[in-house]
Amino acid sequence: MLFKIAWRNIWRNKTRSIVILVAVAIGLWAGIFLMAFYNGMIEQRIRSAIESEISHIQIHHPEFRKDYDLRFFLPEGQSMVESLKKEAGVKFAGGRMIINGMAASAAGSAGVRINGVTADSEAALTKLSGKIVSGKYFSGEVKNEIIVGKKLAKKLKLELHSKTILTFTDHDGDIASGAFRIVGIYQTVNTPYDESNVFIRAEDAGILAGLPGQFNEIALLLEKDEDLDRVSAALLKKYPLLEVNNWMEISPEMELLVMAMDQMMIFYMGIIMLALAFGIINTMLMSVLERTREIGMLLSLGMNKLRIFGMILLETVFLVLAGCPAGILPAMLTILYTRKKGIDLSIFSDTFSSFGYSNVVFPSLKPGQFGMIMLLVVITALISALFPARRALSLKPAEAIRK
Amino acid sequence: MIVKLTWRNLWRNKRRTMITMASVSFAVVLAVLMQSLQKGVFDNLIKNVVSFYSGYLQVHKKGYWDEQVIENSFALNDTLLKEAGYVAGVQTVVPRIESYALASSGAITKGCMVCGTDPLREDKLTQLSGKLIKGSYFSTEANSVMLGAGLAELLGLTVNDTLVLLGQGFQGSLAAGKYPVSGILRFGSPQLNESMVYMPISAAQKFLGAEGRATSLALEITDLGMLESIQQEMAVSAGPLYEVMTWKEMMPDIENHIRADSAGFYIWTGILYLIIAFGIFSTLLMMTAERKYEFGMLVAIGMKKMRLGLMLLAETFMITVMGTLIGLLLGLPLVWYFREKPVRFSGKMAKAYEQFGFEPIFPTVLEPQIFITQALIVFGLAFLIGLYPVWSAGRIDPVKAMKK
Repeated sequence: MLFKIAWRNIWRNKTRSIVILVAVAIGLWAGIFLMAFYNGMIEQRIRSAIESEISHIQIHHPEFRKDYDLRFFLPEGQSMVESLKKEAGVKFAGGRMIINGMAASAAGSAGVRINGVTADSEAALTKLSGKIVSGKYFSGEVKNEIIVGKKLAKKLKLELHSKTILTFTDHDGDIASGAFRIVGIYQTVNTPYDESNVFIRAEDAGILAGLPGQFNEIALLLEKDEDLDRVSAALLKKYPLLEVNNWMEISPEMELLVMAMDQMMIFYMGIIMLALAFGIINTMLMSVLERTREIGMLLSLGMNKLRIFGMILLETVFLVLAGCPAGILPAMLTILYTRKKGIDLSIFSDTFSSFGYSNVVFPSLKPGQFGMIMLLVVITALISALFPARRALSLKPAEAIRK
Repeated sequence: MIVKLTWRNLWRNKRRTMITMASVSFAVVLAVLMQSLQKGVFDNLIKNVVSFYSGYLQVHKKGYWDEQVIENSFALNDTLLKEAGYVAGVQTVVPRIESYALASSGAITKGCMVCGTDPLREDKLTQLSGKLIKGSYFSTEANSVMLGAGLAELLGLTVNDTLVLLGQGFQGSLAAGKYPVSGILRFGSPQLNESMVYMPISAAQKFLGAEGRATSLALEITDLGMLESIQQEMAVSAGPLYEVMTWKEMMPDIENHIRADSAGFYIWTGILYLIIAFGIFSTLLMMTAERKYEFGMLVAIGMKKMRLGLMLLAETFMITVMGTLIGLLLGLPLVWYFREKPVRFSGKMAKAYEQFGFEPIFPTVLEPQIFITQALIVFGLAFLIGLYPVWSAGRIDPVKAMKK
């Protein structure tokens, strides 16, 4: 009986029903889309750091990171890289020979970190090949090629195809040095980084350091960010004597930035849900005002208050249920579309794309979050419907019918 | 006549007026809260980042930032220090002399960054004493050093041990000295942790053979909004021989991240406006539905639709103005409250924050600018939406409208 009245009420006043239905739909759409957008934002931010600088996981000799001492290299680095590439969840693995030393030219000298890298693996790990602003990436045809940062090139007055001398303490504690020809100049947004990092090929670095074919750092990119803990744990088990660090341990500042945003967006979600709730409450309150006469009539006909309360609640439930698909469908379509196209945020801020920094967000949604948002919106809508329903209860039949 | 009618209409059904006004007010409150929170969190983040080491602004001899060597230091005369302190908005001026040097103990030698600074002022800028994990904080006259925990561990040093420093001093002189370790500092940033050696500025000047010289003045300011104007004023008073740089110029990567993040929040703000707009619209829609009979009656007894529209427009205007004002009045204490008693977060994130020596809070900022812009935006939105009843009254058919 109550069902029937509620059902008929919905169809009797279509405007009102549509308004509430649309309110729920917009709330759901906004909630789901924002959640996906937020996932995309976090992912993008981590990604730009992971994929251009630190990678997901780095493996070192446990003593290495303290002092960058060449004695602490990774034994059997080559075969480790090969086996890591086959590890489940690992997208890419590459080894490096990192050496702290000096770069010198006729104009002066500077302390630098010499990154001995494998040409193709560095292109995949940190997209070094994409950061080249003049010259070329490693060709592999001649020995002793070097890529330097723009800032360092300026400081040491280095030009393309000119030579620079690298000097460092080798594996045995002796001074080693070699002349390298500049094939390319790179630039990132991080000027101090550009000033202090140079790239040579790992083979050349190994020979000079007295450790041919060895690595002292292995960097891993994963298929999915979520696999981080699982893969780290697996690697720790596999190489108990080595140090396995994830990106958060390598760059705690980055983790801090990510987490600050993380927390903040929860507040934003809260504010948006509040806005939605007020919208629905106001609409329902207005509709109770409009229905004063009708409800007064029902009351004077002898329908008890509990039933009226139930009736209004039922109406809302119907509308919310109908609003769900109406919100989910557009949300899914929006996500699918933006996921394919990406949302380019650079229109809102200055572009840094010239430095290989992209600010395109690809929204994505995890199944668990989907359910959570739906629950959140439905609960918000139902609670918002309670206030007006209570309001209806306090009506006095005689006054309500009077015009 | 219309004004009178409007006024009476507003009071005739107080509940209805209140509901409509409330929908506008809440919109203003939420928009203001969201913006104040966003600004507050970003400002706080910047404050945290600059309190690592750099300060909001630094003054150097021109060319120092490009080539950070002791030869690019400047004579630290009192006039410059005082003038910097007089610039409105500058809270603390920390003179520093910084140089790379080799730190050694026994057979181990490590590169390090020697920072000679004023102990009291430094503490105001970077809360250095709070980072002390062992030993005691240095005093101005002391001839001792404090080390980052990572560096101390590498060198195998602890409090009261002796650190040997070697480096290049001013004008090519040899800098060398032995210093007792008075304290160990733990920094959130691994880079600082493994490289910093703090000394009182006079001791550092003596070590580097650069008496009375400094490489930088780091400035703490009261209001982040004044950053650019302070930079300009400072540049004028320091003269052309100096460069005045903001944290943005010194740490472009952090600036970049923050900018990229704030871009994302435009989307959130946009969606908030959308929901707000819909909330107001649906309220007005229901109001129009409720008053259909009334409008029909007015038209039936001969009121021109034009005048009816005008009346509704006046109603909308009054309701929106009042709603906006009430929203501002409600928003003010709310934002103020969250500034004084900021939201604290807990869990993994709070721990990470504390490791960096930050308070795990989300403060808001209380800025008139935000209140004015948000109020105007919501007012504009609400007024536009308020045209709907006017439009709908213009199309009313009295016979249909009055039919029960």
